[in-house]
Amino acid sequence: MISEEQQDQAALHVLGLLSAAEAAAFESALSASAELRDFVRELREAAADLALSAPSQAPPASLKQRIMREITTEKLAPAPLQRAPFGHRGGVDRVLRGARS
Amino acid sequence: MAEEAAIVQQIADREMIERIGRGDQSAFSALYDRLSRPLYSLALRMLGDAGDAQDALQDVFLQIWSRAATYNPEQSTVFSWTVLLTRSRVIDRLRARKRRLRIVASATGDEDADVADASTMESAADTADKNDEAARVRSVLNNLPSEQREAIELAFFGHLTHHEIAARLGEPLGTIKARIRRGLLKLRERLGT
Repeated sequence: MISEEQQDQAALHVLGLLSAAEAAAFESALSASAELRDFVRELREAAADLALSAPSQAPPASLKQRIMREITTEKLAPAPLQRAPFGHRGGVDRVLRGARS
Repeated sequence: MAEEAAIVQQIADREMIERIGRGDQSAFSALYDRLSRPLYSLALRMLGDAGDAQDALQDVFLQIWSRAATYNPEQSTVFSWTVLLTRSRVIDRLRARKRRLRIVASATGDEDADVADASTMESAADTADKNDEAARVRSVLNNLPSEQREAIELAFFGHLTHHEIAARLGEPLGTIKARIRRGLLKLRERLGT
C-alpha cells in the first residue's frame, strides 16, 4: 500500500522537484518497495507524455547535419556496455535520477 | 489498437537504442528522425528561444549517442528517458540564464530586474499539429481541473519547484503538492501509461 505522502513524493520525484536530501531518502524507499518502483515508473511515463503537449515544431534540417557531423568527426565513442548510468553531478541532474531509480 | 501500436513503437525504440549503443549511426539517424520533433518542441517551450533549443537538442542527442548503452529498459521507455535528458539539459540552460541575469542585475544595481521565466515566454512554435498522440495528451491535459494543470505545467515546463509554485500562486505548500499528485495520477489513468 502506497501512502498519500509517498504518492506526493513520487510525483515530485518524477518532475525532478525533490531536494538532494529528499531525493536520497525517497530513493531508499524505492529500493525497498517494488510496488513503489512500479508506481514511479507509471508516473514517470505519464509525466514524459506532457512533452507532447508542447506546440509541435520541427528543428531545422541543418541541426541534424550538425549533430551527425559531430558524432562522425569528433569520434564521440558510445559508452561501453555495463557502464554505470551517469555520474553524480550535483543538483543539475536531479531530473535524471528518475531514470535511474 | 493504440496500445498495441505504442508497444510496437517501444520495442522498435529499444532496438534502435541497442544498435546506437554499438555505434550504429544509421540507428542514431532513425531515432533522431523519430524523436527530434517532440524533444525540440519541449526544449523550445521551456526555453522560448530557437537557438537555445537547438543547442540543447544537440547536447541531448550527443548524450544519447555516448550513453545509449547505459539505457535501462526496466526503468523507463526510450521516449521518457530522452524527455528526462532533454529537461535536464534545458534546466542547465535555464539556470545558467538566471545566473547571467543576476550578474547583470547586480552590476547595474537593478535589483528588480526580471529573472527569466521560461514558463511565461511566448513560444515561437507552430501550433499546427497532426500527431494523434500529441492531440490526445493535450486533450487529457486540458480536461484536468485548471488548478492541477497549472501546477503541473509550472513544474514541468517552467521548472518551478513546488515551493516556488506555492509562493507564486499564494497557496499552501500542501495544496500545491496535492494538485501535482492528483493531476499526475489523472494523467496516468487517462493516458493509460
